[in-house]
Order: sequence, then structure tokens, then C-alpha cells
Amino acid sequence: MKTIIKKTNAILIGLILFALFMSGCDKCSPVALKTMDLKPTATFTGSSGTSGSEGWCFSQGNPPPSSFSAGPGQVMVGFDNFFKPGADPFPCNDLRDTVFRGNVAFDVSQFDSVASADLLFDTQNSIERSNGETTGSSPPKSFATVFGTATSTSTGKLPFDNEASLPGGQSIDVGVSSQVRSWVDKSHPNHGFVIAGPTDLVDSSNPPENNQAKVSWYGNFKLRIVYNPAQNPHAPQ
Amino acid sequence: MKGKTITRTAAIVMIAVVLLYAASISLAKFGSETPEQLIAKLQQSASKGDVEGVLSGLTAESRKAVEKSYADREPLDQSREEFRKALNEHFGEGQAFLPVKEDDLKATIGRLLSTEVVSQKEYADGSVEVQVKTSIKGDGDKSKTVESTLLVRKEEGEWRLALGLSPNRSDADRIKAAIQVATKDVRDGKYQDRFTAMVALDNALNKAEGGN
Repeated sequence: MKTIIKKTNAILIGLILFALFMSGCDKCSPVALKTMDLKPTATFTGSSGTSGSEGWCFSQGNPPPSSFSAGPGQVMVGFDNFFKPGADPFPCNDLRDTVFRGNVAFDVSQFDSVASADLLFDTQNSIERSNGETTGSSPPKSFATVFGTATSTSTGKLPFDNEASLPGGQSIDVGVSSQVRSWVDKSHPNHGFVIAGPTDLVDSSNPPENNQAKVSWYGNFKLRIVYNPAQNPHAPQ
Repeated sequence: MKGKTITRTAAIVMIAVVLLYAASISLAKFGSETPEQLIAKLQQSASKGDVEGVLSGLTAESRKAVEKSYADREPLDQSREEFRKALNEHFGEGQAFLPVKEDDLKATIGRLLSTEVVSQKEYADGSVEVQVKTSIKGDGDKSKTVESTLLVRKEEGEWRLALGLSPNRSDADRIKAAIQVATKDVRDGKYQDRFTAMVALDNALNKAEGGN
């Protein structure tokens, strides 16, 4: 009789242990996630703003063109203003107000789902102009203040949505999991990221009247994606 | 036969003279007998996109300045492109750039939607200050109404608009010269990198513009 009870207990304990082992298997066994750094498929700088004189002035004026452009692999973000007042009593002011925004696009078509995504890049250069002098900063300053997902890349205005604030610094790392997931599940068209700020687009009915500039150059862009290979058969296993 | 030909030729010549005289009257005169008429006609020409009509309502000096500012644009853009090309040749191909779309004169005048003369004040020299309420088209569907003070004076017997352009207005030749020097410096290897070259050009332009 005792032997039967012992045998039954042993089987019971064995079954419980087996059940526990089996139920915890999914959570306990490690999923081998992979990390991959994607390079941009496109980077460019959009410029927009207003130039010339307003209203009755008719004249285009000859404000000097912006001196700045983006180097290889770079985007330029910030603003560059020019203002020269006209003569009284009816001043025709000459102005050129330009806002620069950066666009960085990545191909995420090989992914079906992502565990997380981060956008990494460096602030490589910056300039500021005030009191008629343009100076570069060392270390460079990051003047961009926001980023988002581009809704169109057909104009230099580079409109975007899903706006989020951008940290400063020389090495920038921002979480972009939700944005990348929206591209992967195709709920948002993938036109890449837009990096913008510190000012909004120029309001041509109330343009800035100053000679200031704040521009940062960004480069070394990477989109770091963490994914489960089992759920992404087209991505490297 | 010969007499008939002469009569016909004389008739054709007379008609031509009459037509030429009529045409010369309409071309020579913008036809503004009062400051209000000038403003109204400028507005009408602007809304029709009639560039020549608007230009003929300006004083000779203002017309010259406006025409020059548009004519200078292309050489300025070219010199900027030359500078960018030199940077790319020397420091590697820069990234694509979407430039600002600039209005031409027709688009610029098209921004004047409506006008209303509010008041006038005559100066001793015969010129008249005219307060005009103007509706100006902005971006997209936006428009704004501003009150502007315009200066009009009589020139060649008719009222014309004198633009208040700055006497030390940006000079395209000066700007172009500064860009050309910077471009040459890039090609001569004066700068260690793209960034330094761009800052140098910007400061050269600041200097050329009086650094305000």
C-alpha cells in the first residue's frame, strides 16, 4: 500500500515538474535577437523661405545667396537670414530668410517586425552669425530641436509628422521604434526622417528681419535595428 | 494707272502714320493724371500679370533698379553654383540640395490683390506721399492687409511710383566678386576643408554687405 502511495507521489511530482518546465519554456528559453546598423539610402537638405522685397516694392533685390551647403553624407539644419532696410518714407527692405531641414531615408523593407530601433548620428560642424561675423563652434553645437517622419520630399519645406524632440550633443541617439514600425507595417509611407529646428518655417507674411544664422551639419547616420530573426525571414539570420 | 497707285500708296502711308501715332500715345503714357489713378492702374496691371504695365508706372530710377535686380539673379546663382562645384571637386561631392523657389517679377506683382488709397500728403518738391491699404497674397491661401506709405512724383508729365530702395543696396557685382575670390581660393587649395571655406565666404559676404 505504502509503495503504491510513494509511486503515485513520485509520478505526481514528476508530472508537476514536467508541467512547470513546459509552461515556462517559452519565457525561459532565450530568443536570439540580432542587431543591425543600416546606412541611409538617401540624405539631402531641403531649403525654403522667402527672398526679395515685399508688396509694392516689386523688386527682387540682390541679397547674397547663402554660403552654406552640405558635404558628403551630411545634412544641414538651421536658418540663415539676411536683412537690409530700405529708404524712408517707403522702405523697400531686401531680405532673404532661409530655413534648412535635413532628410535621411533608410530601406527597412527586409523587416517584418522590429524589436526596437534607434537613430544615431553625429553633429559634425556648426556656425553662428551675429553682429556681422560668422563663427564656427568647437565642439560643434546641435541647433536642431525636433525630428519626425517625412510626409513628402517633393519640396524643400520637407513637411513631417510624428514630431518628437531631439536631444543636443555631438553624438545623438534617439529611439525611433514606433516610427520604424509604422514603416514596416506600412501604416505610414517611408520617406525617411526629417531633422528640423531651431525655428519653424518662414512665415512670408511676417518674415524675420535680422542677419542671424544658426546652422548645424550632421552626418554618420545609422539606423540601429534590433530584431528577432525568426520573425524576419528576409533579414540576415 | 500711275495716279491710282500713288493715291493708294498715299492712303496706306496715311493710315500707317495714324496707327503709329495712336500706338505711340498708348505706349508712351501710363496715363496717370492723379496719384490715385496711378495706384489704381498699377493694381490693374499687377492683377493682369502685365509686367510692362507695372514697370511703366515706376520712376525711371526705380524701373532700372527693379529690372537690374531680376537680370542680376542668374549671374549670382551661377557664381554660387561655381563655388559649390569647386567645393565638391576639392572636398568630395556634397549632398543633394533642394533650393528655395524664387518668384519672378510676374509672380511678385501677382501678390498684390487689392488696394485702397487712404490719404495723401503733398511735399514742397511736388511729390506726394500716399497711404495705401493693400491686400497681399501670402503662402497658400493666406493673405494679409497692410498699410503702406508710397511716394509718387511726376515724371515726363505723369505720376509715377518711386520705390524706397536703400542707397547702399546689395550690389550684385560686389557679391559676385566676393564669391569668385572664394571659389578661386578653394581651387587654389587655400582651405583645409569644406566647412572652413564656407565660413570664409560667409565672412567675405558679411564684409561686402557692411556687416550688420
